[in-house]
Amino acid sequence: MENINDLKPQPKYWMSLEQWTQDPEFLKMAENEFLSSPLSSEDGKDGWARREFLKLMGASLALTTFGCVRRPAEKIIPYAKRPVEVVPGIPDYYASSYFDGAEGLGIVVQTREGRPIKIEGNTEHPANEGGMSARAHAHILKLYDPDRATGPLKNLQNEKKTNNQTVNITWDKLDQEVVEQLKKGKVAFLTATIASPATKELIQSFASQVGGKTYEMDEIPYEAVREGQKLSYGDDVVPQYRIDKAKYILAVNNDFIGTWLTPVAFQKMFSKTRNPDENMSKLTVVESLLSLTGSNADERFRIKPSQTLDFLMGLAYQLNNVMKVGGATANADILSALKEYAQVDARLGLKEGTIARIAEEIAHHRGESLVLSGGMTTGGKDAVAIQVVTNLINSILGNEGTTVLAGAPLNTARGSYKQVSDLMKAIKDKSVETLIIYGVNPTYALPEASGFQEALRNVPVVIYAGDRKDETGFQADYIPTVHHELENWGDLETSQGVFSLQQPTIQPLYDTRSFQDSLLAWAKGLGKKSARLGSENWHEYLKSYWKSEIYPKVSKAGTFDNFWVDSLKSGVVNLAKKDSSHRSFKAASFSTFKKRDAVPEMELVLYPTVGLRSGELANVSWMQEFPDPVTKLVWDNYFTFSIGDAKKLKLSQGRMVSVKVNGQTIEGPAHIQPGQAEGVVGLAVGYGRTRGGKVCDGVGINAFNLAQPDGDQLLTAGFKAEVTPLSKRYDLATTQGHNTMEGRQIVVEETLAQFMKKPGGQIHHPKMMTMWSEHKYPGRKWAMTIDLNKCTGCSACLTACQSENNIPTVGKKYVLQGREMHWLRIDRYYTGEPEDAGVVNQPIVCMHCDNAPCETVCPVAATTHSDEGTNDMIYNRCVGTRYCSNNCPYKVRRFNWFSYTDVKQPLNLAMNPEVTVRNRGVMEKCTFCIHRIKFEESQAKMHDRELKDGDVKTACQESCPTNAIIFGNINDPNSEVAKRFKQPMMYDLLEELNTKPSVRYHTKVRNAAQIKSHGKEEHNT
Amino acid sequence: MMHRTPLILGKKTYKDISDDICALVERFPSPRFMLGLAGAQFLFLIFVLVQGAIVFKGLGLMGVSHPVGWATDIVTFVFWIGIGHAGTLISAILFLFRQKWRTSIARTAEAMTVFAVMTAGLFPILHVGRPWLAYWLLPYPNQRGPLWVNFRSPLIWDVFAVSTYATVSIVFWYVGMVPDFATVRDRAKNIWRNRIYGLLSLGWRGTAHDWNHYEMVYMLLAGLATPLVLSVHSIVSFDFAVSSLPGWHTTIFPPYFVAGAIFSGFGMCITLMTIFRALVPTIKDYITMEHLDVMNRIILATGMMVGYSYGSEFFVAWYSGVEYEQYMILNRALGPLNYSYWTMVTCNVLIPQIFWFRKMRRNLWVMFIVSIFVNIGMWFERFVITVTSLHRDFLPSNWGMFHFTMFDFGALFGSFGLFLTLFLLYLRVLPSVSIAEVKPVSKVGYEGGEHGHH
Amino acid sequence: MAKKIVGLGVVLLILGGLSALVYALSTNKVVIGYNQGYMPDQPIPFPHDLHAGKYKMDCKYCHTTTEKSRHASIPSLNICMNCHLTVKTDSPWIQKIQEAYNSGKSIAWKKVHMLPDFVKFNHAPHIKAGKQCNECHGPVETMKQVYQYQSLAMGWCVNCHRKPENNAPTNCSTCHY
Repeated sequence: MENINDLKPQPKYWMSLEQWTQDPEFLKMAENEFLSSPLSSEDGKDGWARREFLKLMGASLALTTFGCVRRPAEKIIPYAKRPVEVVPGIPDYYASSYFDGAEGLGIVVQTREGRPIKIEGNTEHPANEGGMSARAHAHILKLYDPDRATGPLKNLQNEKKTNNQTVNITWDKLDQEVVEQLKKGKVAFLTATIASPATKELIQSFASQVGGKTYEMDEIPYEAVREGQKLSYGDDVVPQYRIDKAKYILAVNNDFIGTWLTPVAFQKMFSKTRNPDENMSKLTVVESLLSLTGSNADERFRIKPSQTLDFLMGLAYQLNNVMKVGGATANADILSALKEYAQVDARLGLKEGTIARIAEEIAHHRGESLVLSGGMTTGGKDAVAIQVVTNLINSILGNEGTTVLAGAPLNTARGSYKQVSDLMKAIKDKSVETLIIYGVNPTYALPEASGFQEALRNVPVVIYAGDRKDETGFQADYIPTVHHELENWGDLETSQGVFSLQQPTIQPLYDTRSFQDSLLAWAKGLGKKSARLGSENWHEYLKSYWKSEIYPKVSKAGTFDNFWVDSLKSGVVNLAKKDSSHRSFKAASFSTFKKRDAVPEMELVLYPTVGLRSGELANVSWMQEFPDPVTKLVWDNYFTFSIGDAKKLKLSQGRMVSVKVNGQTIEGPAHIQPGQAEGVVGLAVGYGRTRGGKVCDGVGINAFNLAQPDGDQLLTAGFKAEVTPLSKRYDLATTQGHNTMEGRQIVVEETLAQFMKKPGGQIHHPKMMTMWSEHKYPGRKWAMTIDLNKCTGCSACLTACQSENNIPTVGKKYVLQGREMHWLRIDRYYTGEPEDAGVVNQPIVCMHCDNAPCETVCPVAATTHSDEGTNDMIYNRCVGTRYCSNNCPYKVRRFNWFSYTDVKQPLNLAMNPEVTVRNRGVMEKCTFCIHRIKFEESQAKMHDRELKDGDVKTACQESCPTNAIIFGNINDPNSEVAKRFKQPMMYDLLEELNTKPSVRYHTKVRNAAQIKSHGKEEHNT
Repeated sequence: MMHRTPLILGKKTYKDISDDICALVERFPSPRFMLGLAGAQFLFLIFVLVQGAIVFKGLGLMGVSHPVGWATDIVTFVFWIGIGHAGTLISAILFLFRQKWRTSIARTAEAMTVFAVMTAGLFPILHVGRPWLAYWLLPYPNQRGPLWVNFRSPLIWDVFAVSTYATVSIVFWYVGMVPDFATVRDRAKNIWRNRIYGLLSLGWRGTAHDWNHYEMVYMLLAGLATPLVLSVHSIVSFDFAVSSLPGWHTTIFPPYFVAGAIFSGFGMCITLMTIFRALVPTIKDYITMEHLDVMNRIILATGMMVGYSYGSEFFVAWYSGVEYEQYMILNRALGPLNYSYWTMVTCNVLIPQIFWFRKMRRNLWVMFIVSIFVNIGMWFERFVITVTSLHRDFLPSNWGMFHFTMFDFGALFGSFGLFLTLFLLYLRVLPSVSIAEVKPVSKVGYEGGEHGHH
Repeated sequence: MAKKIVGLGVVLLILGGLSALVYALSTNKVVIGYNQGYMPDQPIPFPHDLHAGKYKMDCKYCHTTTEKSRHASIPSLNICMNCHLTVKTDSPWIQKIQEAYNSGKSIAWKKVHMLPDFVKFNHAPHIKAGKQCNECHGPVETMKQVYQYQSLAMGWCVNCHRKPENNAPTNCSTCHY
């Protein structure tokens, strides 16, 4: 046999200068053949770089895919033992669940070489049917958030919990100390609404074992809904609102499309009612601020938040007392209670007879209409009353049992401020020894006025199960750092009977431990073995819970193990039963009305935004640079003013104002919002974090701090506000330069009547001729249709695209210079009179024109036309003349002004290896997700089959909750896109330029009498 | 017989001429001159630093943004290319028309062309995102398949147009200097000067044979250079005219750009000549008021031509009936960037009108100031075309603004540093007036208007 | 006169040489500036000539994902161990592998065929189209130490894709996206 020396090779070629010069650094690298990961060669110092999971990355050279680095000496690191399911280069998908505090989504996590890189919707899940929200997409980046705590922490607090010096602590030590503490009893839990049944049970049984109490709170309060239901029908539920069954939807200060309860599910249902035919639903919105729902309204009226009740009472009066609709109640109290609301139109500043008209319209759709109200903007003193009247109206209209279903209620929004105040009482009378906080950030989300922060100081030991030392963590004594959801087991019950599992998709990045495991560990420490508390670990617990609680309910599921595996595969177990409960309205509830106090002439309301909501994702740069669907502003919150008030107060966009409310005075920039009711100031919550992380700290104002405790209620609206303009100015960064269409044919709107008569009748088609021969598309031709009628502007697609295509964020400074990088943007135009503006949304992607202006002008042929109709951008050929961008009439191209590729670790792990990361000085743009096309093509080829329609879905299409985006091959006459493409109501954007886009738009159809003008009014540009 | 005004003042003998002109090359320059050079080099240093920073850190340092993809760099590029034209016009076209008065300014004008084109040439390279790959714009054989450039792109046409222009101008300029190099060589006392200029003069001996060839080559080159005066800027204008952007997409651009180029070229010419006269007093006899007067008339004429094009743009916008076009033109005049438009109109159309008055045409200070205004105005003309068209185009949602940064100013003013440095060095080391061409015409205007024929 | 002829000759020679070079380069007859022949030293000198040559092992026995994925993938240690649990366990190199395998550590091999990251080469379709490994990787069965056999220059890819019999796509987006 040969001896080793023969085997030992002699260097033949030198690869890099280092090797040639025998640089010791290089030699070290060369000798050290047992590298644990590509990263450790970059920085061995980083503790986590050596972590186990990195091994799973296998040959993921794509980790650092820099555009034009030529031949660096590269290492290739295979697995030691490759898991069977992992094939380098092929993504794996794991069904899982996501709960954002109010809404539960079934999700599918795409992982590559063991690292999750994207979250997609689970089409199996009845709640969202594959639809996604921008936040759900951004959730992935929280996993890789560099500011996460990397292990359990202990704060050495003084009496007042003010100085706090944080020390690392081992899990054993922490468990030991915590157990000691728990032995003292008097344990209290403060958690968010726990939507995971197993976790809920675990916490309950643990609490009962250690003789503790549990309290639930929601950072965005929804308690009024439950209260209202309790009073009106006697059951403590959040009913299912079956919008898909409604032909007429009246939303009164309720943003069900944007932020209220479960927007994705609502949008899904809403879109089903929006087909432009005789069954098309009508959405009437009555609101104060311009919400996403309002911007989708067929008809919209503006009132002040404190007038919400008046309006509803007025409507109830019309329906009940005047029109005697349906089983109109003859109850004396109600009749009399309603009497005084006979003529409210004038008081509300509505045209005389408006309410009567709405009553007429809605009465036409008895049993198939829906009145919705509630949300932070109605969080005034009469929040509950509003719910009660809403319920009354729904009952009158016979919607109860058809569009309002309490049989299988939503499993959400159980939290309430009452429980928080109970907790504070308990703390006051020293009956809380240990407070365990999980899933909420009360120190941030509760106003100082509530005294919670103070109360927390008086708790001997506070244990905060969070993922970092944030606002609450700062006040805690122990932080048993928890897993990110993608690292943890779990389950979810979105609505009664709809279960789904949550499974880990990556080994924990850091030395963290799931909250559930912590509880089990402590239970073990305390020697509590009863119930399931004896379980080995959380995974075991979860399994046994499902075995005993859910498995039995399933008919013919086979063995439990099969059932378990199947549920993991499909991600959802639907045990919801057909529900047609009908409940009768309790007249007595009307006695709860407080007398309405005078409407302040300028009132402040707090509202959540689509992007940030309660700010739990505030440290995710995607969400900070997420253009607000309505205002299109990023990186800030601001006081919104109506145009009228702005005139009165001589405000201009970005002018600083100081607002005096509830004795506090805060300064902030003014944003002038068309379509907002006068006498209202809006301010978004979720901003103004102080310890959230490097991205979000100090961005904006913490509006939660303006909320006002009122007995057992936390008011979020109707505060009297005194506004004084300041001389200072402030730059608000927007992603949209101008807000009206200047009368150009950009978004084509038609009324339902017009559409029924002649679809697309409003489209103006210019006469076209060309001197050139057309491109040939022998095989496939990819194309897309975007249904403006379905699109709600929720911008989930924007974030989906960002996640799929490694699109960087650039920061406020550069957004101000118009350098945001989003490949997919959503243009929002105001129509009609600025004061009472209408809104149209238009997603803009690269049009992949047949006659692409960009292709002809690129000097180096870096952007070319493929024979499948895509306009290819070749990053590595691009020298960056930017001529293509100048010549693109849609301006969809984005230029890398600086190097955005070197992201902070471990954020680079979120990169999608299929998509090249663009380096400085090159142009980039939407590719029609060409990498997905290529992948599906090669898959099809390998299995000797043709691509069929629906095989290739673009990232935006996949995530759209309303299925507004259709993508496919129009050379295949049976593909859905081909069918739509030629329809008369489809039109090309800027058709007169004869660019022949591969993207076509469906006209926006309004179920209204007429369309607002697309004229030249100048709105705050 | 009519009396002709002399082209060269002060009854020079041939020797005086040689002495005067060679003096610049042979004597150590005046402190005034050195001061000027120092100033120019300071600006040049700024240029180097600014562009270095941009190449190192990224284009984001400049004001360019989305949607305004082109700004200072391209504007300045077009500006400098334009400057070049007057030089070729004077040296080539006027030569072909046998305009004797051109002789004493031709050399300097030609030099201006060369340096302007050199300066201009830098910008297309520095404005791209990855300048280190700019050579990809050249169609060279490669191992990528091979992969060629996109010949449909106006930027490629630019590459050809500008490089041709640069080559021809340099050759033309050099050939013109050969006899003078010989003169300097022959006067040289220092051995090194003798050798260097000897080398440059390509062994010129001044025989009839030499002269014969020389005249022929010179005329051919003049013929070759002439069409370039029209072609180069026409092609540069295609960068805009060929695109689909309102404000760019217009057929008037080629003549419009050429007129503008000559206008700006003569503007710069006046600036330089006045500076030249200020720094080197002896030259006053060669670059006379007559020259300046004539050039000022051309400025007046071309100024009104551009004025006409400005007007016609309004007509076209109205006549085309294209809403984007109409909005664009109004936005230029009344939009957020209207300052640039009105600067342009004032400097290019209104101010030159002062040259209707002979007195003004012959006042050094007036013409210097006017010429500066013309330079400013012409820079802003390109700014108006490039930036105001870009910042508001088809879809209002893309509309944006353009803001200058320090780096924009650095690049712009720095480029003057580069240009002036080259120019002043040229005055120092090369015969800045064509001795060979001046001598024959030195008698013109004396002795009853005798014509200096060869 | 003779001078003139010589001069002419020289000129023609130069022109001819240049055009020949251009032709050679653009048709990849001559390759300049690529890694052809690059032969890095591996942490464990794996003798392909022995495995693939002497013992005639199929490439795909170790490079398992060649038919499934874009990556042919360097075999993970458990594949080595299939045999080397018993075979040649006395060799220090094998022992090293053993060590690594037991401790669950990976071995950082040096990449031989390095395409830039903006080139998305996909093994599977090529295998599917019936290409043989050695058409691109050369006579691996004779290589004691593997080296880059082909130039892997873009021209080299494209010239093959252009051949009508291969009816392979030549869109830019075939490899760059």
